[in-house]
Amino acid sequence: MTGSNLNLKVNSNIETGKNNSAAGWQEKLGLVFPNPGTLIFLLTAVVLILSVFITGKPFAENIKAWGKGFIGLYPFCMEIILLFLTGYALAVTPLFKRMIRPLAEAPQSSAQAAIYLSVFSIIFSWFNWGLGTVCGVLLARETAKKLNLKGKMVSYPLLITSGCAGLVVWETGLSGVIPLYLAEKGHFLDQTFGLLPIGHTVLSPANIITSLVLLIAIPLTCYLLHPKEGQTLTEEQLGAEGLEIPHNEKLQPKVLAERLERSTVLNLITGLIALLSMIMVFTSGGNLNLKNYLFIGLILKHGDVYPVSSLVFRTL
Amino acid sequence: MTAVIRNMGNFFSLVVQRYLPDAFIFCILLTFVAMLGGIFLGGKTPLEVFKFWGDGFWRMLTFSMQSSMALMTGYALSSAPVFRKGLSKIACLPKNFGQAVLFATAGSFLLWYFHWGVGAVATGLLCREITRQMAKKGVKMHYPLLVASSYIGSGTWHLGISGASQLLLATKGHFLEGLVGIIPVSQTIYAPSTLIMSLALLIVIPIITYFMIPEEKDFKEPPASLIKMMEKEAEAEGSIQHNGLKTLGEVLNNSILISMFAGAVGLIFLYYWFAKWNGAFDLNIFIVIMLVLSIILHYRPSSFYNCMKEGTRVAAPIFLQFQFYGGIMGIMVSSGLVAIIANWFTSFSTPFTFSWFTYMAAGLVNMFIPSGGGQWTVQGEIIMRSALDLGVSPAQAVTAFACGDGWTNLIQPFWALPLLGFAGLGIRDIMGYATVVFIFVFIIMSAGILFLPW
Repeated sequence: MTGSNLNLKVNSNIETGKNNSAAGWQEKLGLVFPNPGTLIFLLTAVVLILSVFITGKPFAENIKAWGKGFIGLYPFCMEIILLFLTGYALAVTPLFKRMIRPLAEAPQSSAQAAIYLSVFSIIFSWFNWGLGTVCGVLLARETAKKLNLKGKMVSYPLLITSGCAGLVVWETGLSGVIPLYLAEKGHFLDQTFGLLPIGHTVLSPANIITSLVLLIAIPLTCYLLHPKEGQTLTEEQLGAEGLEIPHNEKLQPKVLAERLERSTVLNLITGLIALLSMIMVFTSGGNLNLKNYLFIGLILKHGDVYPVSSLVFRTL
Repeated sequence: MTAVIRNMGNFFSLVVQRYLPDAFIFCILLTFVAMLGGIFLGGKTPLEVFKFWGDGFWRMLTFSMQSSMALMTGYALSSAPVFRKGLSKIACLPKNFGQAVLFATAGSFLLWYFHWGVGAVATGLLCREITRQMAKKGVKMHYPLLVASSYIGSGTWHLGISGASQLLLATKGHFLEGLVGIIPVSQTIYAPSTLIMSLALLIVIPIITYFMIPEEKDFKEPPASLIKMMEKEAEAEGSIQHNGLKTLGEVLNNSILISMFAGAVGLIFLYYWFAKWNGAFDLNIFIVIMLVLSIILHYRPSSFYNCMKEGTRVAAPIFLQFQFYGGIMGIMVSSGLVAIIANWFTSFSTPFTFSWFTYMAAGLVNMFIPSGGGQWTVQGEIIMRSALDLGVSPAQAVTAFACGDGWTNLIQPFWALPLLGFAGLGIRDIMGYATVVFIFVFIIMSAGILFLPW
């Protein structure tokens, strides 16, 4: 149940990502596939009916369990939200964009770009899925635009898909929600098998080998999927947000309040607080888990002027 | 008198516009203050303080999600067609802007008095609907004041029937039972003196907000983006039926059956909760009620789903800031700062002034720990112990605490975040007016605590 919830979350995030280009694909999927919200209702119905008929538990008990589960997932929900927000905030910092931008120049054809983008997306998602997907999509857009500029035909839907390819590996990567959660004290299966450090899950040889195989297989698939002919980009696609760095409007902060809002120092100090707090946890015997992972996101989030709050707003 | 209050409103509004930073920055600055306090007053090492911060940060997860859910479901409910019609009938009542301010203020007071969770969300809904009706009628309005009026209930909620500390003292087995026993709510929330104080506030505050209405040339209309959003909502209402239902996915997305089923699951849960399990009305149940109502009243899954998605915008500030407040609370509690503040205020109290100093201490601590119940659990024991030592009635002490806990909300953005999400304004736009109310509430509450018979 948790697993399917997570997938839904991911789907809805992509959908909200103003991913116009994939609209064609989504339309086709939409032939049979309802939107995630509807799917959740349907899944509720299926699970409820199954549990009544298969487990034979009385109806009231199942309903009670529904309510308990609904409320019980709150802390976890919030963690997921923060995980995505911090990943996004990190991906759209000017520093990051500046680092990634040259990468968009490299591919010489659309088919090359499919391989290139999926490799990139998989590697980044393995480290942080929010970062990987956001960077992946931003880079895919920018690459498509660059190819278009060079007069090349582009298969835009496939490039965007390649940019999201990392979604296949993120759960087994360093920001995988399930492995990180199981490494957290008091997780909901703590009583069954105790803590599961990520050395046994994400960093185990078997998982690393699997990830490496995927790193080869998925780009290959993307390459083979590439159609013979591409198309030129539409105006709407050209206008989509890529890796452009917003030119720093030199707005002179007028009043004290605004000066505080644009203060870099405040951001850095906040990051430092999070960093120190995390060091305290590590030195007292803690290890990498979901919560600490989020802190890393917070620390790295922003060296630049705009307050994080406005970023969070843009994410949604 | 009118002119004085109006000038006060203008003055504080100007000051706040100039000096009060964004709510998130405010929260960061409070964190620094709490950290310095923890180090220099609490005598903890900096590293310990950082650890307290981290612990508190994560303890807040559940509450942030609850608040976000309450907000998003509230948003979804408010955009359900039936609910909108009902609410707009109520919001139609005020005929001009002056009446609208009186109405919003009294409405805010009563909604918060009933339940703080309801107050935080429903005032936003009401304010939005009043704005829509005013705009429809073409009435000129000073939007920031209208939103500020919708906020004032947060300053008095703790005297109301969801007052966390009083309810806790009346609950069997509460954590101070050994000290003061069980204090029934008839001695606290429903005590004549408390009721008189509440009534005085209910009468005086709307008058204050009414007097603060600036001259018409200074009116600030609602932001254009908000009006546009409202228009879009009105359009969306009619458009659902026009979508062709060509594919299986679309049929499912627009299936009334699915929504009704999901709603029924929630309704049955609520039935069992209240009828069979004798469950209490708390924040979680409030969320389930809002959720069920909005699923059902939206008729179609797609309509509900889209509104929830829109609602995340309203909840955006909470996602981030509540965590940081959790960090502040962690420092305040674990470093012993709360105890230090409470003890300091007690140290120079006499039996006559004790309750008033308790009120001040509660107000000060509330700046850092805006959650009422949470604050009582860390401050309650000190207050009750000192009250018994000085021979002050525990009922008076807890009422004073309740007054203080609500009072400083008027200069603390935490509880305004949901409302501001609905209203599309920043904290700077409303805090000036709230500050004027803050001053008058202070006068009334002080007089009530000191001079009413307890």
